[in-house]
Amino acid sequence: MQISSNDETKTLKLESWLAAGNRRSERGWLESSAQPRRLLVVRTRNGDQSAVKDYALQLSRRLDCEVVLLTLVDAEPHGDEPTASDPPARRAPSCPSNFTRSYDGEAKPLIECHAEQDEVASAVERLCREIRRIEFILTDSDVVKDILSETAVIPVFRMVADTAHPEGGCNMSSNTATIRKKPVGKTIIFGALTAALYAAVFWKSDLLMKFFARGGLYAALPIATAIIFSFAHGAFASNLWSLLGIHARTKVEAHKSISPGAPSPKVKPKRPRAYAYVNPFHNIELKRK
Amino acid sequence: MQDLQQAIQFIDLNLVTVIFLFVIGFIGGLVSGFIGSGGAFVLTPGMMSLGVPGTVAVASNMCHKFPKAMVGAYKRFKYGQVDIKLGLFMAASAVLGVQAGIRIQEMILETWGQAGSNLYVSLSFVVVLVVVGGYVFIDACRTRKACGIEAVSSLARKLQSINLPPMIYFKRADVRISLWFTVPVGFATGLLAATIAVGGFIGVPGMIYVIGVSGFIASATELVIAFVMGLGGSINWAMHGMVDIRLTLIILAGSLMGVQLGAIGTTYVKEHMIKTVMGVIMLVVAVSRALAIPEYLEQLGLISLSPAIIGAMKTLSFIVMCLALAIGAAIILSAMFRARREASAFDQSAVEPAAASS
Repeated sequence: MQISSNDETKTLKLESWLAAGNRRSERGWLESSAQPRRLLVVRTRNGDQSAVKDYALQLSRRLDCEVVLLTLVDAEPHGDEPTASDPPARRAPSCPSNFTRSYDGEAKPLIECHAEQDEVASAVERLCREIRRIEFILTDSDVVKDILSETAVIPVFRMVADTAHPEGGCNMSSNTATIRKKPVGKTIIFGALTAALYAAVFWKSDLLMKFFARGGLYAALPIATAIIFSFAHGAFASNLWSLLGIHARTKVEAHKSISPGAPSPKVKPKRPRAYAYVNPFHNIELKRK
Repeated sequence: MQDLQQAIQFIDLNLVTVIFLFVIGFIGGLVSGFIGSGGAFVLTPGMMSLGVPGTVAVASNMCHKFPKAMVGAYKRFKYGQVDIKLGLFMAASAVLGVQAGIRIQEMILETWGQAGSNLYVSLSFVVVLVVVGGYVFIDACRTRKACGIEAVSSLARKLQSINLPPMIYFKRADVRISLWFTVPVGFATGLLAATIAVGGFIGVPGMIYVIGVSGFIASATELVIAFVMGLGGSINWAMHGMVDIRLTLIILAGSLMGVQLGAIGTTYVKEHMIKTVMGVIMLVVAVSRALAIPEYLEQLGLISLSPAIIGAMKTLSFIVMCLALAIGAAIILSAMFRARREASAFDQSAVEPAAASS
C-alpha cells in the first residue's frame, strides 16, 4: 500500500509506525472490503434474553450477514477485585483478541462479548471501530436505544418479543405498548395479600395497639409492620398502575441536565507535574539497561 | 405517657376519618414521589384536626414516611434517577442537622414557651419558603421560557471547580464536588426537617443550586434522605410508644399508591416541572403559615386580636395548606397526562404513515 503525502516527514512517520508492527488499520481496511456485512445485537437482562438473539440470527441468515452479540452486565462495584466467577468483562477488558469467535457457517454469533451497562456507548463505539462493516444495531432496551441513538453513527432499532403469543412462539415488535403484558395475576395476588394484612390489623386493633404502643423493644413491631405493608401494598400498587396502563417512560436524556461549561471529571486534563530526581541522569541509566 | 397511650388506643376511626386520611396520604404521596418531599406538612395538622394528640400525629406521620420514601426511592432508582451515594452522604449530614435543630427548639421552648416555639416554626416556614420557593419558582419560569433547557447554576459550577479534598465523584449525578460543600446542604436539610418537618424544601433546591445536580436526580435522591431520617425518627418515636399503627397504615395505603404515580410522572415531564411544582407548593404553604403567625403573636402578647378572627385565620391557614397540596397534585397530574397524550399522539403519527406505505 502506498501512502502518499506531500509532507515527507509525515510520510516517514507513518511508514515507521506501520513498520513497527502495528499494521492493523491497513490490514483491517483491506479485509473489510472482502468481509460480509454485520449486525450488532446489544442485549440486556430485561425480559426474554434469547428472543432477540434468535431473531437476530434468523435475520442474519435472510440478509446473509453475520451477528456480533454484545451482552450488557451489571456495573462492577468499585474497589472489588475481579474473581473467577465474574462475567468475562470483569476478568478481562473488552478487547478484540479476547472475543470468542464461533462462526462456522451455522447460524451462530460471530463474536460474543460483554460490557458493563454504563459503558454501552463506548463498547459499541469500539466494536464498530474494531470489527467493521456493522450495518445496524439491534437492541431489546429502550434505554440502550436512547443512548446509542445519541452516540452511534449507524441506525439503531429496538425489538421486543411477545412471549405470551396465543399460538405459541413469539412475535417481534418495535412497539412496546402493543405487547406489554397486563399483570392481572400479580395484582390479584398482592391485592389479596394486602387486604388480608389490613384485615388482620384492624380485626383486633385494640389488642394490637396494646403491644404496639408499649415502647422499648416493642418498637420493632410498628417498624416491621410498616415495612411488611410497604412490600405487599407497594407491589400491589405498582401492578395496579400497570394494569391501568400507567407505565413509566424510560428516557435517559430527560434525566441529564445540559451543563455548558461545567467541568467533567472524566475529561479533565491532568496538570503536568514537575519531578525532582537526586540523580539527574537516571533516565539515561534506565535506557541503557 | 400513660394518658397519651390511652388516647392512642381510643381514637375514634370512622369512615370519614379513614377516607380523609387515605386521600391526604394519596395526594401527599403523589407530591413526594414527584418532588421528593412534601405531604408531611399537611398530614400532621390534618391528624391533629381529627383529635389525634400532636406527638402521636408526628410519630404516626414519621412512621408512614420512611416506607413511602423507600418505595419511592426504589421506583425512581429503577428509572435511573437516584444517586445512592449522594443520598447517604446527605443523610449523614442531615442527622447532625436534626440534632442541632432539636437543640435550638429546646432552647426556644425554655426561653419563650410553646407560643414562642410555634412562632419560631412559623417564621422559619415563611422566611425559608418565600426565599427558596420564590427563587425555585422564578428559575422554573426562566427554564420554561428557555424551552426546558436546564443549566447548572453558576454557584454550583464555581464550587465544583474548587479542589478542596476530599473530592467526591457522584456517578449517577455526574458531579464531582468537595465533601465540605455537600455537608452544609445536608445539615440545612436536617435543621429544617427538625424545625418544620419538611427537610426536602431545602434539600432539593440545595442539591440543584449548590451541588449542581439535575432536578430529577435531586428530587429522587431526597427520597433516600427521607428514608434514612424517617427510619431513625420512627424508631425513636416507636421506642416511646407514640406510633398509632392504624393511622400509619391508613395513610400508607394512600401514599404508596400516590408515590408510585408521582415517580412514574417524573418520566413524562420535563425537568423544570419539578421546580415549578416545588416552587408553587412552597409559596402557597408560606401564605398558609403567614396566616397562622398572628395567633402566636397574640399568645405572646405582642398584638391583640379577637378570638373569632384568630379562629378564622387558623381555619383559613389549614385550608390554604390543603390547597397547596391539591394545587401541586393537580399540576403533576395535568402535566403527566398531557405528556402521555402527546407521547401516544406521536406514536400514532409514526405508526400511521408506516401502515399507509405498507
